[in-house]
Amino acid sequence: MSAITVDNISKKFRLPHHKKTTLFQHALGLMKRQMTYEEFWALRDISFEVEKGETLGIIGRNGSGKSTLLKILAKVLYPDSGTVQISGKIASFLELGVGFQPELTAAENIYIYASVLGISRRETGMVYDQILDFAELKRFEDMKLKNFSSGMYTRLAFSTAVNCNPDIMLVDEALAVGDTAFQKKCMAKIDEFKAQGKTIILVSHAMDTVRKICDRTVLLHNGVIVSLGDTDSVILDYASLSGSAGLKPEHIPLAVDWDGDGRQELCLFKHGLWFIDMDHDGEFDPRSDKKLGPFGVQPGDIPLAIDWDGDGRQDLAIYRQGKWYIDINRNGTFEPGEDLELGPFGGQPGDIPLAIDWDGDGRQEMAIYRPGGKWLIDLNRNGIFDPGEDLELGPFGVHPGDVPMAIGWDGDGRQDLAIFRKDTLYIDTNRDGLYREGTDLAPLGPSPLAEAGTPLAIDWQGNRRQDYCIFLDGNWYMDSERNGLFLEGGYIRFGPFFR
Amino acid sequence: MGTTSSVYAIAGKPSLVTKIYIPRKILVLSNMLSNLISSLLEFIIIIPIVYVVLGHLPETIVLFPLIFLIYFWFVYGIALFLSSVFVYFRDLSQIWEVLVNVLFFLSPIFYPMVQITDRTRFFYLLNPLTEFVIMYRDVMIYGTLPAWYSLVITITASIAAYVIGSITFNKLQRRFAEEI
Repeated sequence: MSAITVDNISKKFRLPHHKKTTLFQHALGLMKRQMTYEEFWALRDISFEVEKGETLGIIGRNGSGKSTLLKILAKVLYPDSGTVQISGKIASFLELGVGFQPELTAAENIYIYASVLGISRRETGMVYDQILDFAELKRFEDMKLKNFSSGMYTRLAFSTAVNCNPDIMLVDEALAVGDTAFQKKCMAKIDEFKAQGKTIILVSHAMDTVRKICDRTVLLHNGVIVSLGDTDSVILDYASLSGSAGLKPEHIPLAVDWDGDGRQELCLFKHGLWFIDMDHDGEFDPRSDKKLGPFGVQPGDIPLAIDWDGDGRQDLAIYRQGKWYIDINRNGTFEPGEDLELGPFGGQPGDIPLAIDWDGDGRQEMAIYRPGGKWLIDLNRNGIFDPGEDLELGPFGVHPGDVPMAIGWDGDGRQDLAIFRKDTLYIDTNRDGLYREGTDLAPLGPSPLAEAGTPLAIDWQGNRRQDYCIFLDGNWYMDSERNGLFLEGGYIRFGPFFR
Repeated sequence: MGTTSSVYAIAGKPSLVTKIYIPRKILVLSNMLSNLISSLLEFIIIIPIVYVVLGHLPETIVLFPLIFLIYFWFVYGIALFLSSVFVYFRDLSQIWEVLVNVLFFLSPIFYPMVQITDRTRFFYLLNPLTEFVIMYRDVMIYGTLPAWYSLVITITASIAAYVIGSITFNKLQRRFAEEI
């Protein structure tokens, strides 16, 4: 049951060249027949749902449409197209203390403000003491509002608003109220709201607050939704939008057997955070799934899942400028000393790292696919490529844009080398480092879907065979036919990963 | 006339329009109600004056609330129209003040209807205020029942004013928050 359903709303503002506010000016304008205003889309095709009991953050730069969206939800503004459905009593705090009359006493103003918020006199009477206690203004009950300090004023307003027991709260940066102690109380009240299963929508620039209380977050930019989903990753999208992190909002899909049950989980690496779909439903749900990190991101980092120690569970790792950083203590972050740092492997530009269990001993080795088509596998497991001791295979055949992969296709316990080229997957099943049609497995593909997406190998079913999977636009496509064609009915789709 | 102050009912309360959702007609209605109270007080003053002048109170004065109710809805309809249009045309208040003055002198308030010549009588009756003034006079001073056609005209005028006012208001209120 969703509390708020926003379906495809757009809002257009008029920016008049000369503001005309009188009949006379309008009459003149009619005679001159000039274009009197420009149109400006404040919001365009906004759709999302908010579940009951969920806290949704709305972030974005100034002028991105946050407040317009909130005002539409509050019914102050009307969308030009699209619909908004709201179920439940809604209280909007676009501004605190709307309708306060300075000449009246605090007690009278509580009733006035409550009625503006849609609360009857009788209902207000029931929470009246609660309001004054929460605001810590019991002594000033009969004082005229004009003699209040601004802190007292906002405390009274906030207290009245939160004690009116709405189902849905729309909050626009109103939380910066009062001193530290009062702010703590407000946060506690908000946690209480969340525990009671109330829905909150928060517009804020304070990322700490958003991170603390929002389950999901929407990032608006120039009136469109740029990113919607897990709060941490959306905040990082925002940071990259503002240019402060210097990162592109990239998602890198991975398959990782985190829990060691023999089935690999879907995982998305985004801004140094790992999102692991522990319950195998193809979607990331903060309540049932796992989020780890941040690992610390640098441009060019490549995430990997590797079962280095052979305990049946794959660990997370980052390949950074020729070095391997393996999160042995499994907390999603890299701590020097506790975690493993290996290499440098060689570190030529364009090297692509792989984790591969070449020899089938249950431990994965590190490997590098070097542009030109060579495979370098670190068989002696020291993180450095030693000619003679380690394995050099290939060349596989060069083609720009090739993606190397290790895949346990045949289920013999050893992973084979494979190359994804344009839209087709070539697996070296006879393990000589070369791909030859006839002696190796027939090419899997071609497929237009694969061409648009990112390939990965995953043992989704836990049958010790890895399947071919394509990640595209937040969805996972499992090649259930095992022919790489991804035709209608020949795949199982999961996702979208982030709702 | 309560319409002059009702012009500002919406535009004069920007925070209640742009910061929170309340049914905006309430703002007009509350303005109307406060005008209602002050005009009721005025009428209460009239009653002893009528008693002193006439020596008795006509029984038909009990019909006064009915006429007053019709009058109230008439004014409410106009107020809805004016307050919503004023948001877009801010010189409406001055224009309306002049118009109200004209209507005031065009209604038989300082002079009885009998002084009106037959030639201009028709135009006088086009003014809905004329009928209200005649009816008030009938029940409060002359002690006669108001004419049926007066009732029909005023009730029709009230309904028409309310419908037109509501339609205009509903249509214009969508962009109130942007214009204020």
